Amino acid sequence: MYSLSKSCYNSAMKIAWVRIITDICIFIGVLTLPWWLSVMLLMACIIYFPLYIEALFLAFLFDTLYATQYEFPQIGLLIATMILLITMFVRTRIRN
Amino acid sequence: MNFPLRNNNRNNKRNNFLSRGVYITVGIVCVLIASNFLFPNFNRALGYALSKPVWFIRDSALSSGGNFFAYFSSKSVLHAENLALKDENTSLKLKSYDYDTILSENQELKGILRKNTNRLLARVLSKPPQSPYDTLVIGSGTSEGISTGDRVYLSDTVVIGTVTSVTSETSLVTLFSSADQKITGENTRTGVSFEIIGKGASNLTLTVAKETDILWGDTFIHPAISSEVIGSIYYIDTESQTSFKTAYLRIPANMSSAKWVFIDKVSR
Repeated sequence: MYSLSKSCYNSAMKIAWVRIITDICIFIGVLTLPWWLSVMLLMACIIYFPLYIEALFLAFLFDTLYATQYEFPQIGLLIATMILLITMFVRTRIRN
Repeated sequence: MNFPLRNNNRNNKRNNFLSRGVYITVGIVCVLIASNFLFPNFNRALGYALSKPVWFIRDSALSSGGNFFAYFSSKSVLHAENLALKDENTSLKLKSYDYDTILSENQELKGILRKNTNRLLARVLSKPPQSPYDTLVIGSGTSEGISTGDRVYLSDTVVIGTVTSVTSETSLVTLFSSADQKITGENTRTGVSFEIIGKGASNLTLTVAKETDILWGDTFIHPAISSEVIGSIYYIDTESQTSFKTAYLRIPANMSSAKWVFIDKVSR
């Protein structure tokens, strides 16, 4: 029982670390890579990780850094939200 | 014949995951949008504070490692490149004589017509391939006297946009080529002014009647006391069935390689 819970804990920690490292890489990517490459990386992460909420913060950062104030400044955030919701919906409809 | 019963427990789990995910997503989006409306400058300043170290590290890494691949170039390639550069150098020298004369004359005229030219040099932190909105982030802000509406130049005569948002250390520059930006441009050949609309990726368009006198290569300037080049026509689309034609202009520089820009502070 103890070894089972310990192995579960280890695998959860491993997943968490992978996710944190990916977040840092994507953050650096958003700031340094061409925007279309950053968007593709974000989409890949949304599809790969379950409930990739970080995409919302990264899209918000994208808008905050680059969007002008005259137009609606949250286009990136809205697109990321839509993709995230669609991916979640599809994910729950596909049998593992 | 027996059919396995539907696993309601599994379906419930999935629906719970979906509904919980939707609630969390919508909640976060609402908080982010509200924070942007309540504290727009704080968010921007925080974003730039987080990003600036990464941009500086990238720039220093690129400047130190830029010549790395030059060591692996072959001798014949280097020889050909050397010859091409020599030719280019000769033609540039000839052009520079004209340029120096015209520039000194231009400076004299500017000095007479507009006495308080107030230009600042600013470092470009982030530029178009990173930004999908055709905007630049520059490393100068209110602490150096920059404010919204200041004009931004790539060289002495090429104007590329205006400052649209300022924090204490950084500013956001919206290029004229940013989508749906409208500016008035004057054709240097005919002297006629037109409304030019930004289309993104350093491109601008101009829609005029088919009879209008515009040609490939025509240069457009910002109508001001001094000539400020906006761009030149590289393609004219006359194929459409309507009585209009669309001219495509491009900023006369590669924005992705811009490292410095000049800010013309509006005198207040």
